[in-house]
Amino acid sequence: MSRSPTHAITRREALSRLLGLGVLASTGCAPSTGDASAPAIALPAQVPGEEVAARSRYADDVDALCDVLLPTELDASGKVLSPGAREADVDGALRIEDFVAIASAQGILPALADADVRRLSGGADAFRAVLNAELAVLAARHRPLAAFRDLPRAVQEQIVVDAFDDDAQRPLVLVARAACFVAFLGAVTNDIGLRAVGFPAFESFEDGLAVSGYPRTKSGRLVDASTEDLARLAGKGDLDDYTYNRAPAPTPGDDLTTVLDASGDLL
Amino acid sequence: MAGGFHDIVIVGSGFGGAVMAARLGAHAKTLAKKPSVLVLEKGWDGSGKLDPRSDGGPVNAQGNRFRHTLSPAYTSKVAQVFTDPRGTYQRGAPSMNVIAGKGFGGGSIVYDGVSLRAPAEAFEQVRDGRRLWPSFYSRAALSPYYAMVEQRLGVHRLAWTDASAPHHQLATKRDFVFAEGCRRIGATAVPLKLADAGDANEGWWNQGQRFEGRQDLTKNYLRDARDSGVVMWSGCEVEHVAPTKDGYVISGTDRRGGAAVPFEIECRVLVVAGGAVGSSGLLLRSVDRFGDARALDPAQMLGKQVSANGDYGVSGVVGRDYEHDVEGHKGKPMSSFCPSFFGQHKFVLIPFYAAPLYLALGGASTLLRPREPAASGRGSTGIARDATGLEERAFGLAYKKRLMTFGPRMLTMGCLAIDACEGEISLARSGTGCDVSWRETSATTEARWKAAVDAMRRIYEALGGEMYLDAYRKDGTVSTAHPLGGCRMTERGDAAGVVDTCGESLRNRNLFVVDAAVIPSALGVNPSLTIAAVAESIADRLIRGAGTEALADRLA
Repeated sequence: MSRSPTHAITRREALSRLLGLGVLASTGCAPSTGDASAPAIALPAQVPGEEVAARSRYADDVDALCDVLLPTELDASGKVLSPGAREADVDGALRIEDFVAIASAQGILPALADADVRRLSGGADAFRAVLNAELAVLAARHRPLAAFRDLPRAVQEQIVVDAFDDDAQRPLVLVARAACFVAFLGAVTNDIGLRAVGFPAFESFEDGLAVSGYPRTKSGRLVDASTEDLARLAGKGDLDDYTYNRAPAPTPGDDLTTVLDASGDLL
Repeated sequence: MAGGFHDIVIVGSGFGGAVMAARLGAHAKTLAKKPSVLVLEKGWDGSGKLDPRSDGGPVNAQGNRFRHTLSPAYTSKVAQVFTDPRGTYQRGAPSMNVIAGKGFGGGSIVYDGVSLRAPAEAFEQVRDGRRLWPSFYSRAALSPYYAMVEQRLGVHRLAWTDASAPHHQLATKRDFVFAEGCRRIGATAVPLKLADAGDANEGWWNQGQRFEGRQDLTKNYLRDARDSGVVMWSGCEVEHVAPTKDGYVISGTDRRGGAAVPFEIECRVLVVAGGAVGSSGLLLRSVDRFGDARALDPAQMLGKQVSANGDYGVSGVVGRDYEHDVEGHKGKPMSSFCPSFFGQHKFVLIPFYAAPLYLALGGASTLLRPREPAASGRGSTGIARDATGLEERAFGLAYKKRLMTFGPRMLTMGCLAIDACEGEISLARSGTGCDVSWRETSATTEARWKAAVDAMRRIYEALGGEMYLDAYRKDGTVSTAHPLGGCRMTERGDAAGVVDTCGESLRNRNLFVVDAAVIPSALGVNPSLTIAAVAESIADRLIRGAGTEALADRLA
């Protein structure tokens, strides 16, 4: 039987395209008509016996994406070994009004095209809807009828890698990644992420007050340097201090008198 | 539309505007007519004390509105980033990022208090046979003004040990580690001169420090101005200035109270002090409102020859074989520097606290390894590949684990150099604000940055660690917190700038620019002290009528 000159699409491709069209329609982005030159969507080969993810523990695809970008580390029993974006309340970061516009203006996001800023703005729910829709399309390219949140982690990561390399998808993952790291390291609604990377807990989160640099004991008690004997505390090994009487060794042969004056300014 | 008249209007409240507000405000009180002085600041009043009508969140236990958070909803109130969205060097990548303070205190609300006098040779730079600075300026000529600023800001030199200074005036463990790295490559680190308000500080936004202890201009010059009766309005963004018969009219938008209310204010004397980008942008937007006879930019120099002050930042880690963690987040954000390379290569190195958030997202430096660790130069290398040939990823569990390792052992440092002023400020193509760009790097600047990057890499390696990939080597992006120029000072009669040695427009009497925009060259050190000293000098000459018309006569 001779093949038709027009490319016959597989059932899987048809499903994928239909799903994609449905998503585009739902987001108001109608594809251009007559786009006969659009490349066929390449689907990965089926691998019998490939790991199938357990039923998703994620609320939606965005939730799963955030866990891919900045994962929670779990042990075999499901205990959290180290927190990720979800524990750090990435939803709280995404709820920041005009997040995309102000994150872009603050350099947290690279400068985005105005069209992208408009597309991804309009509130957390709107952004989430757009991102969920895009993730559905991307997931369908890899595995029809599977939600992104239900894909194996390796496939999810590959989707994210591909999205970073794709001009159209990059803004979406950049925004999601920015939200994850802002939540984790920005002390937006908690300091979980900062503590995970070695920072001390906030002194008063309500008052927006991180720990001061004043000397403390090993147990964290603030030392009053005007009334307490730092030397005695240090001698007991009870001073959690990072400067106490440290002085660097001199550098042999480096004469600074030609570049520095007595008050510490360059000549 | 709101309006009114003030004898003197100052646009901006950073190291130029705050000094002018304090000095001119105090002088105005002594004049018979008691001329009025108004400061317009587009940002908020983080001090909670200067503008009773300011919006901006609750006042905290320290009596101000500052918070230790990097939520962009907050940081957008205290700082802004200017960039070049066109990506002129590499497609899709900006070529220059500038961070600037926003709010009463200008850059001082995000600075680290570093207060070094500029080296003498910074003032003596020559290009095309012409001295970049007007002949009035030299290190010696500015010396008394440096001293005035140092006194007002409480500048002192830090110490290494408790035996030499009170605990809150010590360099940090980060500096101790940096000093050891310098020593191992034959260089030397010394404690910095710093402005502080008597606090041990915390290497945390903004830019760390217990709010009442950190130094900024709301605690000194702006408080002096308020006490002299200077009126201060926050949330008022000036969009245009235009000449009138006897002065200037300033138009903009007042956003206090949530609504955007247009205003027009007339004045006799106008001081533009919105910073290098802000002032240049305001004048660029206003050029068309000045006729040929009063041309703002007769030499076509507005926005040109902008310096990044040689800023170049890198991040990295010290090795586990080195005995100490860095704990870079503890203590003052900056407290030592290495001047050993200045004689030959015209740069200094400074270790500093950089928030891991910005490193993780890679705006200026990244947490990724470079493909070629020893590469230097614009766009010279990419991201390292793993054993499978794939580029390291800036997300995922491995990246998070690197971040967690990075926390205690991170060492971030940067150079400040005498660059060749290759930047440019232009009106934004989007129609609002400004774009900044850095299209080409001269051989002079490139050589200095290469030497600096090499020195920094050797420090990391000497400490058993490694230097990560920065945005200049990766994407060609220049990032600076110290933009200088855009409205360069020049001698009258010399077509090499925008304003004269007093900051006065060459063809517009009583229109001054007094801030980083008038600085005509890189300084090679943090510039705030020099900007304030230049402002002190200009205020002094205006008040005394020395070499220029006295302020009293201008207001008569």
